[in-house]
Amino acid sequence: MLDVRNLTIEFHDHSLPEVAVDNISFSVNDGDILGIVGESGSGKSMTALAIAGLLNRGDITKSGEILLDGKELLHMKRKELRELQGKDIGIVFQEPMTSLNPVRKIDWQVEEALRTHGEKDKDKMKQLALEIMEEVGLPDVEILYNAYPHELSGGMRQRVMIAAAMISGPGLLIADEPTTALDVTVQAQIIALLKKINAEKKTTILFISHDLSLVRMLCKHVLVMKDGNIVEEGPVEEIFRNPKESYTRELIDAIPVVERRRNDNGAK
Amino acid sequence: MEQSNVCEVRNLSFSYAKSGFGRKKAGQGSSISDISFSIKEGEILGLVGESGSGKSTLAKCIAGLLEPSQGTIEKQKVQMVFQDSYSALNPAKTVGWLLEESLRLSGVKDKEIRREKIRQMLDEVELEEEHLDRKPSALSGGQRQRVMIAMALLANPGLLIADEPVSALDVTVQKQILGLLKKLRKERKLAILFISHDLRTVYGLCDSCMVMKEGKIVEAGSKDELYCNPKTEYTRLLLQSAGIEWE
Amino acid sequence: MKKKTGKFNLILGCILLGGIGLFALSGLLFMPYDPEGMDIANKLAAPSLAHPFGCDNFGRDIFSRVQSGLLTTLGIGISSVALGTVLGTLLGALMGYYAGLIDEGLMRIMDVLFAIPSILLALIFLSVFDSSMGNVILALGFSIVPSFAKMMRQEFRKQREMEYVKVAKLFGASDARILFVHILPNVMPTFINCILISFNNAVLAEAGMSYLGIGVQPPKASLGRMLSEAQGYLTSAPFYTIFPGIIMILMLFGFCLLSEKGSEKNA
Repeated sequence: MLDVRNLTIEFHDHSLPEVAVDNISFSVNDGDILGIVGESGSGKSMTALAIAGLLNRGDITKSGEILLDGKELLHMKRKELRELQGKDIGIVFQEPMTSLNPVRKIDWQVEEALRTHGEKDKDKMKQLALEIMEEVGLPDVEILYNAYPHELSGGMRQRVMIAAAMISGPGLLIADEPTTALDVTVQAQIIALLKKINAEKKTTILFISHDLSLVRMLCKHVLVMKDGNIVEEGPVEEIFRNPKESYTRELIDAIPVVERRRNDNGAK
Repeated sequence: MEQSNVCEVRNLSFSYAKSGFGRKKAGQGSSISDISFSIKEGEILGLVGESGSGKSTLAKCIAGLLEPSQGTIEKQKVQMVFQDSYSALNPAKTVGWLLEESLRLSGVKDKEIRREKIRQMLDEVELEEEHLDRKPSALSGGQRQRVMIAMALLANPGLLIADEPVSALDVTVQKQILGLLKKLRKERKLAILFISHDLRTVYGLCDSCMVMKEGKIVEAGSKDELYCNPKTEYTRLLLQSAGIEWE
Repeated sequence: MKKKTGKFNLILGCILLGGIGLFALSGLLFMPYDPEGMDIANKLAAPSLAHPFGCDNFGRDIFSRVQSGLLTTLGIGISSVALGTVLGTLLGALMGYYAGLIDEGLMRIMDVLFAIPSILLALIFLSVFDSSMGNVILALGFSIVPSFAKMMRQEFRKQREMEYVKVAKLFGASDARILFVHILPNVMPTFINCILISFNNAVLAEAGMSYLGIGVQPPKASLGRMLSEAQGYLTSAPFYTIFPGIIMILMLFGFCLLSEKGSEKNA
């Protein structure tokens, strides 16, 4: 479904060009959840933004190919790209506080993807919005529909973001650290929600995180990125059992030990 | 040898009053009620709770940044390390100035003595001398957190409150900072109140642990007790959410 | 691109103000004629080698008068801004940092003062007291305070929420130390900008007041005073207006360039 080939991203806002992503290739099959793990500066978010078509800036050069269902995204014109954004690709960001427009009500935000793609029927939009809001597990959707973002908790805002991203039924959902700013219990709920969306709608999900243990809860496959390169990739459990790169081992070791105690107990 | 308490909190309550003219101030924390516990010398106590549980309010009360409305706190000198090292280090000053300021305000008047103490402290928190001339913005998150810890320790506290000190850091850096805190506890017999929203972070570090919810302590106990045999539903939920399961 | 224009502005501003400063200094060291010495024979004489800027309606040398007027204007500007800065920063810091009742009370007073144009305020002050140089400085200084305090209040309020302030408190720093050693360096860009803008306003206000006949009293020269005296001879002796005018415009322009640079840095 998604095929990234030789993707390179360079920044030019300083005197020396800075390579954020260095010639990476990977692909995701239809209906899979792929995890991309890396620390800050590893280029994982840049990769996500490039796939979402949000890297059209003068001070960035990109090369390579990003194929979504056979269509080349990376060098697509902004106009054609807009056709895809929100319709075939949905994106959820880390900060639920800033990724919702604070002066607009929830209804407007959730329906925006429909509106930008030419939907005019207000009743139909409302019905779809309420449906999707219920699906992502928001309570009292009729009331929330007319609420402002600041009246919602972080977890609820993130659900609204997911609802807004999913309303037009995109085939690909990019989740860029969607749980990092949330409490652990809410994190677990959001992970469960993403799992459910993947299972019920067959949505392909690209899950970006710095936390291998979260990736392990959600994904089957994982890419480990460091300094713009993919250092390791494969099935998650395989990588946990037998990391090939020392960096991957370091990441696994950095997960606090309680996690591993479970395995020890399980093994016994 | 009997270890003395560095901090003893009895029946502590605090509620945020509405400010003058009936406006509620933005960014107010949560209230806490009837909290009692104590920390011994060289002990690391974990304090776990979700946002809005009042854990930061409790920390500020102990540090003396808030005046409790009820209850007593008996304590030695307390210093704090904050989560957001970006805003907690004065962006206009160099690291060297910040470290010196900590000593100046602790009453160390002699410049040479200050220099010497800072040099030792750099060693202890694993920073280099070259960092002294830099502004906080020129340091990495992990380095800034080390500067925070160094500043706190130069004031010679009996208790260090670490309010989510690693939440904003990359996992490998988290591990280094946790390692540093462990080392400091061992070498300085420093008592630490470690606050986190994640039970996993606390596990490797603390001797005992408290769980807070809605301004109250819902469960407290030794590490093994709390993690292997949680008594309340809420602790169980926190453990589950963190991906910790048990048969 | 943006950076380069900013640097250009800074350099040009510095050159302009440096030139003006040197010109003012030269007035301290050497003045070709007595700026208040009349010479009816040279009444409204056009610029010549002996009188490079010409002479005014009393035959006084305009070059010397511009030198001495610039000194007066700068002196009034600098001292009134210094007064306004000290008071404004102090009030702004108190209001921003302590908030609560102090803030509410002082802020209402500032609002009232703010509602009256500062020049009107100065006018009232000067018509109640006599318009000696000291009073002019006082009037201008006080007229700067409200806007200065308001800007600084906002900055201090922003900084107050930063955690480094809590850290400093934990270390036992006194409030004064927190305000002026810890916070003040962080509001420097706004602070400097405030000073530059206030200075511009003070110079303009002084000119306006002199023009209205209050402010600096004749025969003493100030740039504003000279412009008001020259208005009757705009067509017959344009040089009378042009030279003090140019000096004043260059000076204001120089400050504008610098403050623009400051606000860019701020953004």
